[in-house]
Amino acid sequence: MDEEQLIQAIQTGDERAFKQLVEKYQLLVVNTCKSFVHNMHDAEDISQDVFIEVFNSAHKFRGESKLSTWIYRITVNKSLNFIRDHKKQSLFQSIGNTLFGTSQSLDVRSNSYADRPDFQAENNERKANLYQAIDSLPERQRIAFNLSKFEDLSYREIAEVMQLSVSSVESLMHRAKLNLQKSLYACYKNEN
Amino acid sequence: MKHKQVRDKLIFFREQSLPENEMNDIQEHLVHCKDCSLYLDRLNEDFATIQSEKLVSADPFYYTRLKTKMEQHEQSGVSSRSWAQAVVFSVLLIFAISSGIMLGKSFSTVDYQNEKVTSELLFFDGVKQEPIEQFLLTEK
Repeated sequence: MDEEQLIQAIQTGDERAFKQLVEKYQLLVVNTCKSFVHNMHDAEDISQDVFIEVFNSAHKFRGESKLSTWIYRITVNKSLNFIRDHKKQSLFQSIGNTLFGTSQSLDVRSNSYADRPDFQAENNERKANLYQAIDSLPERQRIAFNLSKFEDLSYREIAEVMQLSVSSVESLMHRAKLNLQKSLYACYKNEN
Repeated sequence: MKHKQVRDKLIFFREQSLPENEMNDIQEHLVHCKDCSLYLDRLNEDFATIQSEKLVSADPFYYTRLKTKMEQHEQSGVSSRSWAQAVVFSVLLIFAISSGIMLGKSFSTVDYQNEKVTSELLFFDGVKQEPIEQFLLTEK
């Protein structure tokens, strides 16, 4: 089944076609989510939401772009929404703690990856520094960087996903690399 | 080349995306500078980490878990419930604000727009009420 037939079958509610699509794009979606949230559990959770959205919005896909481009767009949006929601949750939690003096912790991620138990267990401060440096990039630079480095997409493909020109993506990538280099160098200096 | 100039370009050097002359200059600098070459090694290791983080094989039970989640979504009707909640809260908020305005208006006793009423209002005159101040003001 080619992409067009696959999406047409999903539009009619064909579960076998949907299963085929999930098997084909599972790694792409999970890896993209993981590049944003750096956590396998959250990445799988978001990736499931992505496929649910794909199934429910299959009728909206008009074939103007490649199916993978459309799925990348949904994945990036879902991942960014997840990060925003968690930031809001942390903000409300810290306001609550300040106002009511409670130290009750909700299931909210710590801002510092080095503080998280899974990272402590791995004793992988380097990885934590790298992720923090990536997360500190402005949103569009981070999207371009993640799609390029984690997904190995070409600048043209990134431009299609982000609905930008190739030159804009080149500029975003250049700035992302400069910013990342600056952050990482600061981390190396602190370590020494 | 200075250390800072080299360090600002190392990320592009490792990708070999610099012009040939700059590549050569940096290469030459790295031979003599231990700090900068250490920094390059760290950068290379960090970028290798990115590659090692990728999943390379699909989870065979992924689809089963996804189907379970989809069924849960259908049963709970999460999206319709959250929309209904938002609508109910908005209606309650609008009702609370409008009833507050109505109550405020009904308890108001003074009609400030009526000139007859406002002209009858006596304003506090501090000088009249406190003669000591008048005395101080007029004293020579």
